[in-house]
Amino acid sequence: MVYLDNAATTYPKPREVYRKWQTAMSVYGANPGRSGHAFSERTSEAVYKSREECAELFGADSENTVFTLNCTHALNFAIKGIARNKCKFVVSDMEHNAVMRPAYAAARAVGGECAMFSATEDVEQTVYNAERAIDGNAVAVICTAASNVFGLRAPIREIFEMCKRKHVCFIVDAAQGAGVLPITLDDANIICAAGHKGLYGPMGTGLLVSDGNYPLETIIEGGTGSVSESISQPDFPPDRFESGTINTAGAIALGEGVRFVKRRTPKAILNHELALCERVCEGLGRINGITLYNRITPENRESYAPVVSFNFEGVPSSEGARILSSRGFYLRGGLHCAPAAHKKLGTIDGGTIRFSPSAFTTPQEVELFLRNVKQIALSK
Amino acid sequence: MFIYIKSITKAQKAMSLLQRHGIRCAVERTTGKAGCGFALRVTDKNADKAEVCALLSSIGVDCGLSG
Repeated sequence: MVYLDNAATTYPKPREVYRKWQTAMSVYGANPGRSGHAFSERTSEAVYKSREECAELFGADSENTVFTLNCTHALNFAIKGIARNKCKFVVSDMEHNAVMRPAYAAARAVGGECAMFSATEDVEQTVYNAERAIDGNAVAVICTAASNVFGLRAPIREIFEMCKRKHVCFIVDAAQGAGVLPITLDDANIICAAGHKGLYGPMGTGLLVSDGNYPLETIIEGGTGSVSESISQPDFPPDRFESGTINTAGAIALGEGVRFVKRRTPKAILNHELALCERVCEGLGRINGITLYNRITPENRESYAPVVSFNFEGVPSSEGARILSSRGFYLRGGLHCAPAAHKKLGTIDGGTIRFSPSAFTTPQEVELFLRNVKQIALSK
Repeated sequence: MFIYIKSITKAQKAMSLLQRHGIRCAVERTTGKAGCGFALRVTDKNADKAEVCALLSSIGVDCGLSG
């Protein structure tokens, strides 16, 4: 098996993440923050250590680092939590449904609107496009750090500077960026991240990281183990957003994933993965019968996250991915839950096959993959 | 010294801070008229209350609630 679907979920995880998860299930098996016995206290401490680890990666305070179920969950908290009557959300045209659906749903619910701006390779143009969409009703600009379809990176720091001037909250969807791109609270007011992708944690984990400058309303309420005499949700994070028992083993193992990323460094992981993408782009570009939708090269690598989209000419992406799967290469075909990005790319009708490596993908696997793609293309 | 703190995360942050300064302490679960909450128990007999409170104040913990 050659697993090349890491933009959906990284696999395998570092050995220490598996070990930590197993340990967490047994040694940290009590409910954190709910009981006063030593077993619960031990578990709470392990959760806190993980929280600190995650907070540090994003330059955040541990209290403003909330464990969520995934990035979508975090984005829902951020987007719906900041919605106000008749407000406007400004989103890029690269967004995943994890942004689009809650933004449009939240806008509908408050009688507001969503405006979409075009993200391009031109930084100034992109910032200008976003700024033009902001008006007096705008409460937030929401933008992915990098497209999950064709890897284009958004100039998030520049957009953040513009948002600060406009007094509008900037929310970054770091699903494809966290762990490879240097995203911190210098780049956004709120960062939403998946735990199971570039942070090498288990599925069912995510993070809502905030600078605390934009208080959020809650979208779910419940028991937090704190201020329990009150009928109202606590007004302090992370309790405000962590109702009910969290995925404790997942959260603890996520901390181990983050430690792995810090040890290797996001920069080294990014360089490794981009080098593999460059080789894939070069290789696919030489094969007749392949359409390549983004070409990562040593010259333009600064503009991309490690994701490559392609198709076998005349073959739907789902069928192409199925053929690759039958040969033991696991890639994803389809729209990747980002229809706007496909409209931009001109692939809305059939989608694309997505190549996405991880820190564990080897050059040998990439060469094997290219040889098989060539054989498939020749047979068509 | 016993300092009530509403949030377990804040309490753990406080514990971590004091321990980095060599002050022994522990987080405890409490139940009182304010419902369920947490407290930081400073077990270090040599701890200087003024120093502890100054440290805690730097992370937004008010020693005024201490008992």
